[in-house]
Amino acid sequence: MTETRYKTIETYDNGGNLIATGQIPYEISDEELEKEAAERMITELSIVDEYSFTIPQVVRFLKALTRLRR
Amino acid sequence: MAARSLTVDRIAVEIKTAAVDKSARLGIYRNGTNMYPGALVLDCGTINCGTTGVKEIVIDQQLSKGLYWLVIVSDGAPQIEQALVVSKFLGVIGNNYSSYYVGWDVSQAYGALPDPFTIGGSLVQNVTRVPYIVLRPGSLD
Repeated sequence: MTETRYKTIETYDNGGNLIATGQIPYEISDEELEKEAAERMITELSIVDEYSFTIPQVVRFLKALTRLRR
Repeated sequence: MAARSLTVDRIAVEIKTAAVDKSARLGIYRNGTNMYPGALVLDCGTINCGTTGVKEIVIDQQLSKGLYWLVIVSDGAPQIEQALVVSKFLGVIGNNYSSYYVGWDVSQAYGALPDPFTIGGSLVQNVTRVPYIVLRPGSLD
């Protein structure tokens, strides 16, 4: 299972003039999606005050770290 | 490295972090002496670095079999997509095999590319990624 995303592409001539723009599709694998989700999770949990961390949050944090280290 | 004669019709980079009001110039150099870039093959022109995304320049350049150097110079500091170093093709340093060379870096005023390549460049060493500049083959000759 993959996700299709798009990135912009600009085409220039030799004189530096923009002559075309478009979108090109590219595939994101499950593994990359999982890593992105793990990075988001770590970013979200990193701003939680350490004394208000709940055990489920600690578990999610550790699981996210583990996914990133694969 | 051109493994055989071919004509390339695009040169491209991907801007990952934009540099507003800045641009970059791309080019191709023939290999010179001692694995240092030599004669200019093509000054491909400029791209706008003010937005992210793939930026390509239309070219029409025949390349014969051999080693070429793809270069980029900018008046800003855009971050471009990088490629993982898989070949330490400029050699390993010393006798511990832990240091290696993968390219050349030289200061160059922004503008038309010089011919030949500016002398006095320093070797890029021990990096895991290098700027990813790509050529698109248009035809095999």
